[in-house]
Amino acid sequence: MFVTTSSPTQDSLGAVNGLARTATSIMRAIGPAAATSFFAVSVERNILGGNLVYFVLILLTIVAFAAAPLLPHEPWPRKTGEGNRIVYQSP
Amino acid sequence: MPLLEHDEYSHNTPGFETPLLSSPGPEETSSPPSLSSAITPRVQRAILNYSLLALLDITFIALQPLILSTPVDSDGLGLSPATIGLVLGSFGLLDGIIEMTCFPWMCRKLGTRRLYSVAIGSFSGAIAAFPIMNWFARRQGYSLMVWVVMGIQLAIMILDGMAFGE
Repeated sequence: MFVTTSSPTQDSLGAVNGLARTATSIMRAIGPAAATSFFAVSVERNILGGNLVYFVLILLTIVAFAAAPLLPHEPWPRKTGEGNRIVYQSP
Repeated sequence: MPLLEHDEYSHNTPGFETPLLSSPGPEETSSPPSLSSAITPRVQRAILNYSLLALLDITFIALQPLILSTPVDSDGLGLSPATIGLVLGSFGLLDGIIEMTCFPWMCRKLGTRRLYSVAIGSFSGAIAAFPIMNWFARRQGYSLMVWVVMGIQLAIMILDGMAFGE
């Protein structure tokens, strides 16, 4: 909802969605490898009693929580009819 | 002007010409906006949040079956694949039903951003449940407490899933 309504015009909706998908795909590519490796390392070397992975993940949660206020309380209002309509309103 | 009702589609239809469209205007050859013009500050903010949510979600989803199957000695829970399948399968079913029915209500009740913040914050509870379950499993074996904490964790995960609605 926030991603689609953040688009500046209707025309750039595709670009915005594509960018969002690219960004999340990169995250989804590195996430599992990083998390499971952290788990393996923290258990093997017994870092922080084998709990390092949980501390890292909670830290990540705090970062994500801190980023949430960058969003408005409700999704941005939709600007319907922008973009394409301009073409037909020309004289 | 009934033609205006269809104007969003008519220019894509070859051979379908209306009197309004046949007069060539200067903007009629407008191209899609450039990628750089689409990246406004609010797009950046929305994508940053969506990326962090995706990273948090996927790390959790990757770790969960790993930790459930790891032996108790190695900080896991040592469950069998069949048990893990049963737990995650029944969770998936419940998750779908509850999110479908409760999400619109919660979104109205809390507001969109606040529900998002609550969902993100609750991830920490779901993460903390892993060492707590291991702690109980080490001391008491598969006692009721292990399953109670797992139930709480799965309940929190339902809330986490609602972050994707925003």
